Amino acid sequence: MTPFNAIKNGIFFVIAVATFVACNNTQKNYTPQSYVVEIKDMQFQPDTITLHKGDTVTWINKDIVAHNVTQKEAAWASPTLPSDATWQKVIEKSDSYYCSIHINMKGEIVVE
Amino acid sequence: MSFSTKKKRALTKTKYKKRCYLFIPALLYLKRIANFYSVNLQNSIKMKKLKKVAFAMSVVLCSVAYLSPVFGQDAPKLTDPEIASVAVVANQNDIDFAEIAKQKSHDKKVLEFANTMITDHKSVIDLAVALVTKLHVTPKDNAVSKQLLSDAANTKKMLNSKSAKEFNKAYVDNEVAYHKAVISAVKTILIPQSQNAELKALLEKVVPILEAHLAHAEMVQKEI
Repeated sequence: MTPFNAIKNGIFFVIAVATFVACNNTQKNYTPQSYVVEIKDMQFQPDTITLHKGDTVTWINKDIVAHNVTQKEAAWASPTLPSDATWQKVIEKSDSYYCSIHINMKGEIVVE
Repeated sequence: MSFSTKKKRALTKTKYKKRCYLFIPALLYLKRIANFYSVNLQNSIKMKKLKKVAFAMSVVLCSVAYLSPVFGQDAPKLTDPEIASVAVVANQNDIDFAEIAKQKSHDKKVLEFANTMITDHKSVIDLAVALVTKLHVTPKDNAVSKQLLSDAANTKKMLNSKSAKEFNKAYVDNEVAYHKAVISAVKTILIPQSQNAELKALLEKVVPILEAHLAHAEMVQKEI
């Protein structure tokens, strides 16, 4: 290995380690956020929510009829939520969901 | 060519022309006959389809017609206890229609819709009853609620008379027409005429529910 190559490899190694450490720290330092989706007037409000992996969404039913929150392929679902009931979920990935009682009510989760 | 030959040919041409003039109306007449039979044939082929369309139209028209005298142009004047009664009856009617659907239908989408109607309208009735209890008001029968009950009895009779095959369409068509009429009545009569703020607020909360039901019914209507 020539001295030039050794220096080049060394610089590359230092940059790689620094990037890894920086990313790791960012991940560790990130505090998961909480978001609220209101179920009101037969709609999810907001109907699209943008967040980060690990954030928590709380759905709260402000309607006078029961609703639920069901992933579009039923991978996960809340129980039936009567009026004023809430349900939380930690979000791992982007998803579409709907209310299986009122099939026209739809919502979207976008993970950045 | 001799004069006599020319004359003969001219006469023959005239003869043919005369014959043609006779043929044209005859051909037109034949064409009319042919069209007549062709249309009749097409009609007979389409008859079954037309019958089905006529049936669906009659269900919708009957449903709209039975609510129009009640919620028609001459808006009845209602007191709060009467409005509460109309609200309860209108919700109960739809629960009754849904109960028939649960007995007669095997269609998954129709059954899901019927279950939603039962759950939601029961919730609205419960809230209405809780409110009138709180306000110490007794729902009062009136011409509108009585008419609604009487018309609903006819609709139930109609739904019960349908075969399993005819039922889904009859039920969903009625649901579309019924929700349209009720939404209009709530918006234009019940909300404007209600005096109590809590009753008005409850009726305002019901509108998006009814609109969601209508959208759901229209969706099912397209799919069955």
